[in-house]
Amino acid sequence: MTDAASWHADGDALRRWVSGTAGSMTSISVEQHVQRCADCRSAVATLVPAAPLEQVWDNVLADVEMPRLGVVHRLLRTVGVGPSDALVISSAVTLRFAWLCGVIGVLGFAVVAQLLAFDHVLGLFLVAAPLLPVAGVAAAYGPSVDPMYELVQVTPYLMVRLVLLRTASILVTSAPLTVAVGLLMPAPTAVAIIWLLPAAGFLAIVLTGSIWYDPLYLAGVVIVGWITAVIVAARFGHQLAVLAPGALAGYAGIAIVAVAVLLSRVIGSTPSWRLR
Amino acid sequence: MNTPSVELRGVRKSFRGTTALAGVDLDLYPGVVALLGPNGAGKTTLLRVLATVLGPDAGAVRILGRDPQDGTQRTEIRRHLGYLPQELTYPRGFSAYGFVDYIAVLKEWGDSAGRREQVRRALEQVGLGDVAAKRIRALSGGQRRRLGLAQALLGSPELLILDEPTTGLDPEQRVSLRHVLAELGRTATVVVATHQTEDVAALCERVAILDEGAVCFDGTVRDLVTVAENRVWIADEPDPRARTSWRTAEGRYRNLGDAAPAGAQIVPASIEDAYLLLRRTSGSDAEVAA
Repeated sequence: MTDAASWHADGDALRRWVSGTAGSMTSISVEQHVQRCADCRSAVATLVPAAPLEQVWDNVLADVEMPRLGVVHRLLRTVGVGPSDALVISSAVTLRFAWLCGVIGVLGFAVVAQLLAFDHVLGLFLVAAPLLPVAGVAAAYGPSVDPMYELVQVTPYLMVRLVLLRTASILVTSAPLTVAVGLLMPAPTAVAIIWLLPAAGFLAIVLTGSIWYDPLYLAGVVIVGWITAVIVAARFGHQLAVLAPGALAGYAGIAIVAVAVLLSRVIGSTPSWRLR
Repeated sequence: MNTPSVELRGVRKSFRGTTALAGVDLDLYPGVVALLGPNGAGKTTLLRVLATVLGPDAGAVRILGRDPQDGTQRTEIRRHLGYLPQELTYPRGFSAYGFVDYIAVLKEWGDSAGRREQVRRALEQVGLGDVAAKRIRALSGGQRRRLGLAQALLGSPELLILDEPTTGLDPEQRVSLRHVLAELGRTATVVVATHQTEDVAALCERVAILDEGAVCFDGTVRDLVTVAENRVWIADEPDPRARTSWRTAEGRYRNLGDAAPAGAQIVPASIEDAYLLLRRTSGSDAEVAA
């Protein structure tokens, strides 16, 4: 290839070639010539509008810079979650840990259940099932576990929305798995379902309590309290007493009160700046 | 003078019996304001109150004309706020672009084209345009600090709160950052907590000095330097009449006191001199530069 050429393409031919309106013969001829002629290449550079070039460069940069969307993000978009919400959920690194713990917990339970007698399996299920969502939520947000907690807190994005999005994403994965494990047990079908009521009560306590306290501490209190209750019930030979109708009404009541407090705090002003 | 961007009246804050802010009164206006003070003086607590991370135990706070105690007004304040905390831990797995993009989503930049423009602009502003696609863990300490700044600059905030923004930056990066902040300070209120008195001299129109949870000086840089005028002198030995003295690079002693003794070789005061004198005046132990 040489920069020297004995002739130069005329301006009109170059213009038509750049705009894509030159005939095929002219296009081939100009293209061949421009490759060898520096003068005509310079002339072409002046004919190409800057804006499309910037656009092309912009698109190249975008392709290089834009992070590749992960499986979770794509899955969320597929099930209809908005792009911003999908990014907020899939970017929460803490969720991955919570999910991992949840899956390991459920699988571990399934394995252990095969090795134990029925009473013990039932006891283990009663202990673990309502606590899984609580533990997952506590591990997914809060000043103790989220490295970006303070930074996220001062954005206008409502903390409540963020927390509920993370909670929902934990529930949709942990709850069906736990129900499935419960149904596989040789126990009344109701047991596989009704644990959801204490779970809802505990979750409401942790979410509402996090207006004032770190959710990790709250989850700790709930976990210790529930395990104690199940052990005490078992010691008196009434393992299922923790799921008796009166107790269930209590869990429902706790959930309703906690959610009401949460809503009132979210809708009205709150002196504490933690959750909102 | 116009309405202040930030009004603090008698702001108090304690943590488990330890007083961090002991009745702070301060008005801030557009421009770059330095917040100086020793470690533990309450600077970070004050910045966290300004950034709406913490509410005060007592006192009144108004930010950008709004009351941060009210949930709706607090959200509105956050729409116009940029904040760089003192310590910023980055999540694993993010690229520089991905991190700023995530914060941009939380800052309500839903439209992806507009968001991309904002993210690119912020990264360019701090000189990270070329490493946007890099993983954060592959960035140097200075680059990570600048990445924190990039997220704070998103959306041209009206109130920018930066806790030691120049820590870990080399001199060239610091100069470049000063340009960015000075430009922002034309319209926005930029509060910079720092230990770097050269940053204060080069960048800030105003200085507030915090000591033991209270503001012990609030004025222009010139006013601050005036505090130490005729109170700094050079001698061959440490002067026993000085409140503090230290050996300079030339092998002589720089003395700070209530007044230079007669016949002493008085030298122009610096911000650091004034700062040390004010700290001594307020009864604390000054950390004397060696």
